[in-house]
Amino acid sequence: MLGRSHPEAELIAYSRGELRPAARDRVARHLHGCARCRASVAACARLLSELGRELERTPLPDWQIYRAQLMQKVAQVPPPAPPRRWRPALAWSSLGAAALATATLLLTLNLPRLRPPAPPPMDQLSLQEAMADTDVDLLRAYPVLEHLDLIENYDVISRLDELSPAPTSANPNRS
Amino acid sequence: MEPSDEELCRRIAARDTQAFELLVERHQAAAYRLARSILGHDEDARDISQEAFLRVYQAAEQFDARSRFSTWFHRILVNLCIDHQRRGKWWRKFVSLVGPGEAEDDQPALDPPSQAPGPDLEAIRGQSGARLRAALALLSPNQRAAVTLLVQEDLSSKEIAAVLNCSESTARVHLHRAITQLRKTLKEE
Repeated sequence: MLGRSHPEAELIAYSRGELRPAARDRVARHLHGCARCRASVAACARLLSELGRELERTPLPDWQIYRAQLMQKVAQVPPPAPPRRWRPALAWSSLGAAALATATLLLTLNLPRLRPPAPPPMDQLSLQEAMADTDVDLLRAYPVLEHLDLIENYDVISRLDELSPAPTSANPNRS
Repeated sequence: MEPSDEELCRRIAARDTQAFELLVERHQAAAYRLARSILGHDEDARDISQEAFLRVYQAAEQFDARSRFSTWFHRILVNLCIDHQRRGKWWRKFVSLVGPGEAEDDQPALDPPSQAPGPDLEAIRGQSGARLRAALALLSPNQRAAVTLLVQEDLSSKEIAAVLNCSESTARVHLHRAITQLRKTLKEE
C-alpha cells in the first residue's frame, strides 16, 4: 500500500452509493487491497449510526408552546407590500388627476384676487352720502316731492323730471 | 392525500396560515434537532428554528418550485445558525476569558476545532451520548451542519453541497474532516 493515496474523502460517498461508476470502481479496487480503508469505512458507519441514535434522543420542546410562540411572531409580520407594476394607462390617468387637483388648488388660492373687492363697511353718515350721490335727481325735485303724499302720487314721482320745481313761498302748508 | 411541501409553500405565499402551521408541524422536530446540533444550546435552537420558519412565511413567494422545499429550508436554517454563531463569537470569547465556571457551561467551544484537551474533553468522559455531543461540539459549524444533515436528514453529498452553498467535493471534504475529527476526539478520551 506504500505510495498509494487513500481515497479518504470519497469513502462515505462510496458507502452511500453516491459515486459515479468510474470513481466507484476505482475506490472499490482500492478497498479490495487496503485493510486500513476497509476498517475506516466500517468505523465511519458505526460512528454515523451511533450519532444518528444520539441525535434522535435530543430532548424536544413542547410543540404547542413552540408553535404558539411562532404564530405570535408571525402575527407581527407586516403584510406584504403590493407589487409595483408599470401600467401606462394608470400612470397617465394619475398624472391627469394630479394636474387637475393642482389646477383646482391654484384656482382656489387665487379666487379672492379675481373677485371684485368687497365694499368697505359703511357707517350711517357714509350711507347717507352714498344715497345722496345716487339719487341726485330726486333731491333736485325735493320741493315738489315734499308736498306729495307718496302713496297716492306715484305718477308724479315717476315724472318728476318733467315738473318744474315749485317756488318755496308758494307752499301753503309751510308756516 | 397530504399536500406536498411545495404545495404548502405556494399556499403560504398567499398567506394561508393553516398551510403554514401544517408545514411547521411537519418539519419542527427536524429543524429543532438540526439547529440544536449546530448551536449546542436549547434556547438558541428554539429561537433560530422559529426564525427559519418565519423566514419561510415571509419569503414563500420567492421559493423556486423547481427545487425541493427541504433543500431551501435547510439552507435558510443552516445559514441562520452559522450567522448566529458568528455574531455570538466575540461574546463567547469574552465569556471564556471570565472563566468556565462563570460562563454558560453547556455552551460548547466553537470554531476552530480545538486540539488541546480542556473542559470540552472532560465532558467526553461521560456517557456515550454526552461524549458524542461533546465531540460534535468541537467541529466547525459547517462540519457539524454537514454531518448532521447526513445522519439526521439522510442527505447526499450533492444535497449537502446545495444547503451549504459549496461544491459537492467541498461537502465531501467537510464530511470527511468531521468524521475524522470525531473519531480522533473519541479515541483521545
